[in-house]
Amino acid sequence: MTDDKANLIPDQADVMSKDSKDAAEQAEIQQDSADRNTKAQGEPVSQPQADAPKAKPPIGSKKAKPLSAKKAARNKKRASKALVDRRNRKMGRYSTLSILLIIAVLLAVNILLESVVGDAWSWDITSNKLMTLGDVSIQLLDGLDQDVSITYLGTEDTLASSSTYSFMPDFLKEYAEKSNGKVAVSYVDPVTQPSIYTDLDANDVYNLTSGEFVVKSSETGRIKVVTTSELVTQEMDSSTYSYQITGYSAESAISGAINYVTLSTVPKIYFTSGHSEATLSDSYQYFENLLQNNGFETADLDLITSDSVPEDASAVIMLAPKTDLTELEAGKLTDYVEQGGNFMFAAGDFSTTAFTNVNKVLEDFNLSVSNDRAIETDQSRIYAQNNTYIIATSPSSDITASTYADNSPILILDAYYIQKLQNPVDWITVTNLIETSDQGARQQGGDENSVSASGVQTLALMSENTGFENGTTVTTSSRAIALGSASLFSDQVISVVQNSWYNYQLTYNMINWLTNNDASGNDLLISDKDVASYYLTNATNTAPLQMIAFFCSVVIPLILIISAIVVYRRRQHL
Amino acid sequence: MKQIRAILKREFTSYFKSPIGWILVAIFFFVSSLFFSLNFISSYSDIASELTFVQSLFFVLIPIITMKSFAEERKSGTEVLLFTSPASTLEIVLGKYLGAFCLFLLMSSTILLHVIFTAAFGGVINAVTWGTYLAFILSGAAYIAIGIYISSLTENQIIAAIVSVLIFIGFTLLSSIASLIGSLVTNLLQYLDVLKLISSTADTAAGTAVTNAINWINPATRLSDFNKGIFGVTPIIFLLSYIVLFLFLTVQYHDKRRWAQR
Repeated sequence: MTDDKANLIPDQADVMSKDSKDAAEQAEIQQDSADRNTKAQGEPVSQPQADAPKAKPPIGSKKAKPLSAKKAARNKKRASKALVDRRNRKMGRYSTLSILLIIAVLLAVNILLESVVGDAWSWDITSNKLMTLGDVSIQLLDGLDQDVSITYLGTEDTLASSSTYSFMPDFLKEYAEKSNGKVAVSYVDPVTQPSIYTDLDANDVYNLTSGEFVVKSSETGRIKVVTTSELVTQEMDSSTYSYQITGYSAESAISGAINYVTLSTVPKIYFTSGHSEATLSDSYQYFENLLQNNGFETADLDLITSDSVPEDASAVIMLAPKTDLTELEAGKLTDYVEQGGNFMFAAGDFSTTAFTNVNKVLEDFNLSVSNDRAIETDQSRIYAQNNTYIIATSPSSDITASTYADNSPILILDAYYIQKLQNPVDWITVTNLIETSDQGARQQGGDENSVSASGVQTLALMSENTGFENGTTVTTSSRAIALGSASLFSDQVISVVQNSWYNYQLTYNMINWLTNNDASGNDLLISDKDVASYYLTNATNTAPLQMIAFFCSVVIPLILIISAIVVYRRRQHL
Repeated sequence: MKQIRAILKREFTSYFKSPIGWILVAIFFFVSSLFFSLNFISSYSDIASELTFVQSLFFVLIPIITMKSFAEERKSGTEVLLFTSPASTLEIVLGKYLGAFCLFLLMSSTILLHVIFTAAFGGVINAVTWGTYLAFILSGAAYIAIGIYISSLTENQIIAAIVSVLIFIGFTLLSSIASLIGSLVTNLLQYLDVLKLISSTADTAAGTAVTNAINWINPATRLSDFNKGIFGVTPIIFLLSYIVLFLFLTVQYHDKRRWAQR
């Protein structure tokens, strides 16, 4: 260490000169270092003891140096040490200052960049633009005239570290950033702040639980709870018995919730019960989400126990019933539609059940559900080699006008033939909604051996009756849809055709038309975002894949380890 | 520049004159290949996930790369020779840093082999893959700068490695700690606010601000955006700042040692 210091002397002198120290100081430093070198070579080191009493020189000893000379030497050393200490302190201060300065500069640069450019210099590079809002949502946010809060009941960290929902914090940030301050996103952990439940839902109506998103409007006070299961669509993989994500529905769920909580009035759709109808949550979850995300409330309607259809009904839907209405029920429904109500009959799988009383209601619209099953004889227009699985089309109509691309396929399974009644009057307008090709046919009464002649078969019709009178005055119009098969929007079909076929869009358009929602401007059809597939498309044979896997995980690491051993042995023999 | 190159070359080759460099590359390639192969034989390959997985090896591999850079010189006494050489402290630090970084780059480049095989068999190599790759290399570069600084503080390589590991683990835990501190701030504000002058929303906002502030300085949190598919310039600048800061600290520390007298 002493040698080190000796080596450092010229550099020190150099630095000193740079620091504009005078030559005397340099000489002192050199002298000091030289003194210490001498001590290191044999002389005992003794610290000057300023406070110790001065001892007299022993009798008989050699003549001591004059006291003033010793003192001068000690003072010189003290001065030299003080100088070194001062220099060390100065260097320390300089070093600390420069460190603080660079931290400040780096912080300033980063904060400035974040605040000035922020997210403008960041891009969503995912193939499905998972964290980017689509035009429909941006349009919704542009039109917001009230404050909306989105509260995640949990920590942002929990959400961000989730393998499935890690995109959500950035995605929600998009809502906050693109809403001109109307949407506020916050994360509140109920564990540390249990009062959040009552803050958001004072009457405990929604039974909020951790891990949910709560969308709330400050103006309407309406709440919509979005669960994580609504953010993605999943399907069971039959080979692994595990759920696989098939699409991202977060945008439709969150935008739908914002739309719902900000609506001045919420349209309500009643689903009839008591005829073995299908339930939404059972096999029509896509349809249920579609309704929820577009601000519709849904409720069950038992026509036997109810005196009439509730006044707040925007429409009544009979979803895949297995039995017919009773006459009494049909009467109540007829009363409802004749007072401006809207009705949709969506048949279930074809059966021989006759819907006589349903047809009494539909009669007002020149519609009728037949007893015939529709089939397709054009082999290019059937699905899975089954002539009752029809790849249908939708002719141009009010519903399809702006959204339907020519020949966009519609998959519909096991459908009833829907008949247009021959009762032409000016105030009833019937339009074909879904039809087969011109090679379609009907199995009369469902009998495979009794097939009608080929021709276009209608699988769904829509009708508007503008002629209902109250006494002598035409009061309002009513709308009705007769759909040959509810498979149009069943989970079974939508999970297969996803958004690439016309089923989903047509369903959305039908509901909006049926409830007169098309005039409200709340068009909010947001398709699910596809999941990027990382499967190898050119891997027809697994043998080369196994060889590559072996080469990468065994051969190359083994070569490297052998090289390490060779190097090690060589070093041993050096 | 000449000095930097000379030190870089000396540092880089020193890894392969001992078994350590070979073993590090072997371990890295073996682990990444294991992840890759298990998916690959099922006709599946997601390089971005592989990179995210392999990033967890940083806690062990980077401290091993950096632990010897200054600590060994100090222990063996060759530090004096280095600092009395014509190279400036900055050049020495940069040379050593780049030497370690080149070894890391070599390790990272082995994953390119997986990229080639994936592309050859029709797998997806998209912007997310390259974004994650860039994030992987940048985070490695930042962690190496930290490791080099820690190595310069001690002459014991093991201590340097352990401290580095603890710091890197600390980065991972920092986001949880940040949430905890944020909650504490919220609760404290609510506790102190007896008169209810501040709304609960403001209390929560204050806690969230504290959490965000702590997360802001955490390189592990800042990089997560890349893995999710968001390519941002600000996280890159942030990581480069980390590298500059820790290299500067290393230079300052050695300058102080170089010129200080006792």
